[in-house]
Amino acid sequence: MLKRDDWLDLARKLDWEFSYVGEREVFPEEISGSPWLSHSEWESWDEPYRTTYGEYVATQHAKEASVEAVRDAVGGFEDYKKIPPVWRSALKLHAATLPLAEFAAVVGNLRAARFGRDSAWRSTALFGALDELRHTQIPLRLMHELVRHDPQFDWTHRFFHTNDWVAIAGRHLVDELLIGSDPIEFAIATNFVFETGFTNLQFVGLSSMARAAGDRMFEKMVQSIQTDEARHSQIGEPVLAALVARDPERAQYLVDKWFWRSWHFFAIVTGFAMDYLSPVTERPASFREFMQEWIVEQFDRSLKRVGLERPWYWPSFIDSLGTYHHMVYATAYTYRATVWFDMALPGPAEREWLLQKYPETWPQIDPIWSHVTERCRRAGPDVEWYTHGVTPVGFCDLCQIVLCAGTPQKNEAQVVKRDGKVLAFCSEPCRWIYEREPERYAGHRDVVKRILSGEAPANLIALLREYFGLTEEVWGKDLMRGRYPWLGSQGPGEGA
Amino acid sequence: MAVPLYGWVQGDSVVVVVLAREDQTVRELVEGLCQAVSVRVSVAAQGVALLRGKRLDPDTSVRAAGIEPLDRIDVLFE
Repeated sequence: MLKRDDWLDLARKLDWEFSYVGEREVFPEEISGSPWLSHSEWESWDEPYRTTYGEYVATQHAKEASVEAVRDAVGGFEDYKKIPPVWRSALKLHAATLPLAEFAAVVGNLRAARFGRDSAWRSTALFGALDELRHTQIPLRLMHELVRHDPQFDWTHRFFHTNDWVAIAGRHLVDELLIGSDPIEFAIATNFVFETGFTNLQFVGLSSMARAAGDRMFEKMVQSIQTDEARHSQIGEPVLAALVARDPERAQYLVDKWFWRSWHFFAIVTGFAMDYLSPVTERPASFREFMQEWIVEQFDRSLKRVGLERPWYWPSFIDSLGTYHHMVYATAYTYRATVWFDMALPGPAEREWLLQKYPETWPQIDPIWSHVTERCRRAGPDVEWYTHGVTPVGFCDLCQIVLCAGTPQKNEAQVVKRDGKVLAFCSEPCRWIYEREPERYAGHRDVVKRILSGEAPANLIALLREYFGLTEEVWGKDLMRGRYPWLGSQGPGEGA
Repeated sequence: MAVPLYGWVQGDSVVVVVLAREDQTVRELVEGLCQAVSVRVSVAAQGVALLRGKRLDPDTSVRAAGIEPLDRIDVLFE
C-alpha cells in the first residue's frame, strides 16, 4: 500500500511526452503564457496543500453543511434587522462586488486547469475553479432571501450587469485580472498578489469585523471562503518562482502592476468598511493598521522569499494608506446616489477616532466633513441634494476610479495627450501601467468620455436612471436621512 | 463654444469636469469651479487659476488663455 503522499504524486503528476503533436501546439504561448518553457522546467512544480480529490470533496461538503447550518440559525431577515444599520451598507457593498467577480475567477482557473504547464498545477487550479463557483453561489444564495425586504440587495446579482461607475471600474479590473490573463499572469496577479497579498488576509480581518458588528452570517461566509482562498492561492508562489528564475524583469513588472491595481480595489471595498461602514465602537483596527500588519509586512516577506524587490512606487503607496480611501469616501458620500448602498456621514466620535488613527493626514481631510456636516445641519432631515454634488467628476483611464489620489492640498491626477486623445490618470502608477501596455487599455472609455461622446447622459438624474441602472428606491442615500442625534453638536476641529 | 475641462479646487477630494465657454473669463471659470465643488469645499477667498503650472490672468478669456478641451485647471488660494 502506497503512503498517501506517494500515491498523490502518482495521481496528479500525469504529464507525458507528446509524440503526435509538439508541446508548443498543446500549450501555445498565446494562451499558456510567457515566457514559454518546456515542461521539463515545470515538472518539479508543487504547492504545500497537496489536496486529493477525495479530501477536497469531503472538506467542501463539511464547509457547505456548516454555512447552511449558520444560515438556518442566523441568516433570516429577523437576524439581519439586528445588524447595525451602518454595517448593512458594508454588507451590500461586499455582496455586490463579490459573487460575479468570483465567477470570473472560475474562468481564469479553468484556463489554468487546461493550459497550466504542469499537471499538479492544473489539478490545483481545477479545485480553484470549483472553489470560485462556490464563492459565487454562497453570497447569491445568502443575500437572495433579503431582496424582498431591501431592494438594494438586488445589486448582489445586478451590479456587474450595470454601467454604474463602480461596476465599470470593477469590470475593467476583473476582466483583465481573471478573464483575459494567461495562466502565468493569472497565477501571479490573482493567486500571488490578489489572493495571497490581499483577499486571503482581508477575509481574516473582515470576518473579525463582522463578528464585532454581530453579523454571524457574513462572518461565517467569509471564513468559509477564506479557507478555500488560502489553499488555491498557493498556486501563485511556485509559478512566480519559476518566472523569477527565467525572466525576473517580467516577474517584477507583473507584481508591481497587479499590486497597485489590487490596492485601489481593496482601498474602496475594505477601506470603506473598516473606517466608515462599521460601528466606531466595534472597530478592531483602522484600515491602515490592518493594511500594515496583514498586508504590507506579509507581502513584503513574500517578495523577499521569491527574490523580488518592493514595487517601485512603494513610498507613495505607503503614503496613500493614510489618504486614498478617505478621499474616495468623501467624494462618494457627496455622490452617494451613484451607488447602491447608503453612506454614513461620519459624526464627532467617528472623526475623533479617525484623527487618532490618522494623525498626520486626517487634519487635511476633516475640513471637508466640517463643511458637509454644516450643510447637512442647515438642510435638515430628508434633504439629500443639499449635500450631494451634481457636477460630473473625472475618472482615471486606467483604474476607472474617480480622480482622488493625493491629498486635498495636492491632487495627483495627470492629464496627458497621446495619439490625439486626452487621457487622465489618477496617479503616476496608473499612468505607468497604462503606458507599459497601451494597446491593452486604449479601447476602453471612462464615464466622462462616454458622456462627452453622447453614449451616456450628462444630467445626473438621467445618468443614474438611464445609464447606471439605479432607481430612486435603490440609489444610495444618507444612512440616517440626516437624522443624526449628534448633528446639533460640533465635530472635532469645529468651533475650536 | 463649450469646452470640457478637468478642474481641481484646493481643499477638494476629487477632480471634477466642467464645461467652460470660450468667451468667458478665467475669473468666471474659477467662480464656476468653486461653485461646482461647494458641496465639499468652503471657499472664502478669490482663487488663482493655474494651467500646466502657469498662473492665468483672471481677466483673459478661456480662448485667449490657450485652454484646450480636457485641460486640467487648478484653483489655488493664496
